Amino acid sequence: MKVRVVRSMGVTTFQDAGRPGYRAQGVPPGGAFDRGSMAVANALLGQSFDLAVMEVGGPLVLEFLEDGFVAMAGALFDARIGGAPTGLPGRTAVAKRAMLTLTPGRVGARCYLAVRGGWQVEPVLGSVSGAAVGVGEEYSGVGGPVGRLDDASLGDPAASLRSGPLRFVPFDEELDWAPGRAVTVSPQSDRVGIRLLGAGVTSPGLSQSEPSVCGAIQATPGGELLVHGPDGPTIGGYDKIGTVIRADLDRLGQLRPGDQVTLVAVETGEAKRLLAQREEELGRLVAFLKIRTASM
Amino acid sequence: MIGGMTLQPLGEAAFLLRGLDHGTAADWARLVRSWKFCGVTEVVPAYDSLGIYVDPEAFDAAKFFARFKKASPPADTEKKRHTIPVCYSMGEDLDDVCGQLSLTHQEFIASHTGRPYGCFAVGFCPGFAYLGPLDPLISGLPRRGSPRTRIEPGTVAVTGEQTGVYPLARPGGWNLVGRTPLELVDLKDGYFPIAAGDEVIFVSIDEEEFGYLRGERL
Repeated sequence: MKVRVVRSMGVTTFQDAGRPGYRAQGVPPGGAFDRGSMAVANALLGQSFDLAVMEVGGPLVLEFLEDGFVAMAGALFDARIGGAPTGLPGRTAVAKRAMLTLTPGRVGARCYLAVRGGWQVEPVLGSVSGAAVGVGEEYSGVGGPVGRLDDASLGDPAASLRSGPLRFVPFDEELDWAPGRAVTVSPQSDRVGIRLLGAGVTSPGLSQSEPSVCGAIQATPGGELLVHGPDGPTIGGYDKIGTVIRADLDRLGQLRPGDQVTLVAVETGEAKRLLAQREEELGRLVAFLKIRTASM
Repeated sequence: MIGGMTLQPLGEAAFLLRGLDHGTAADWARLVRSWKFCGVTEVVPAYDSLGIYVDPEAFDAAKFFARFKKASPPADTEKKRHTIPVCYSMGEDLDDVCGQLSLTHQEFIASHTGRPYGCFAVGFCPGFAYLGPLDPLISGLPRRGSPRTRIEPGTVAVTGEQTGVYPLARPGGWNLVGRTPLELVDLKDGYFPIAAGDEVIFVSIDEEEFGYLRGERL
């Protein structure tokens, strides 16, 4: 199964589970911003959660050069094949020479496209994370379709698209700030960092940089909050307010410019409980999709 | 200084250890890695702090911190030293920098090459080494008013008490004072020769030598 990229706007890259282990060399771990949706897209094709997917952040047109299957999860992009609506998010067969057109919608920032066997891209330090999806380039999965899959739509929107507060574990910094006020996602947001406006806190910055992590919420001199994403620097020089809990990182990755969100502090124990709950729910969905795919 | 140390959570899967004696973080990182402490997956030093990245199911923060507080500070080990050749005439901001400091090019170069620098952290981008401190004669320069959108790989820069080499093309706001012909990072090969705790010394070369050395690895 092979495609050619006809058009791509915005930031669209290949992603997988990333490359942890190189932080001391200044290499951020990267990986899909919404990992749950990557797992679901892969599960729709009956395959491992971390095979390479396209993380689509803007309008994208792919021409299929061979018959194949494609699965989509995450943000609710409008997906058309040859101009006709599809059942995506979900999975669908695409015929040779068909054009798949993805257009961002009003819900979610990133959708995930999976193909059989995962997109074949040369890894760097064990991961394809960040490899560009280039206009005019051709990309393929592995081999032809193994058996026939029927089209399937995902019933419920991805869990990462649910509204609700972003929960965080506070960092004990002496900053004059109280959470609870709604903040607005700035257009200057990307995989390096999500910027939040209107928190009403500023901080001059630290005298020296110190290690950071995906989800770290920092107060900047300009009064924005900067939340590091998966491509965020391994060290940073801003005061930390706290860290978004892991159960909510996928939702962080689906915030769009203009979205409003409230930050709510939770304790580490509660964060662990919420993560376990989220993983159990995701695990059930992934297992269900894989069983349905295998039985066809 | 041990009394002033703190261990605080950065979410569920990382901790920030602050308050180490200045410049000792890299030695502490080496010591902590050698413990192979249960649940610790990565240790990242930066100036006087450590990032401890963990598997939250396996890591016991209280036990870790107790052991850390009881440990003797790591011995001063012999530092690995890297020599980086720099062509200063290729520094786009060298005239401006020397103007601000009221120094000749020769005086600036003599000072910048005149001492080995410690590497206090690697970050900002893959393989970027934070080096310092600069001699007071050439320190104290602010970042540039508007950061450049692209700085070429190998560009040597200064700001405040710090100096460094951009190993990859990046935007940046430091003052550009020279260029090294050497390759300092190769992501594909996992080649990162400079680590926190190492030392770096710069030597001055001319444009002809730059041409000979171009593309060689550090």
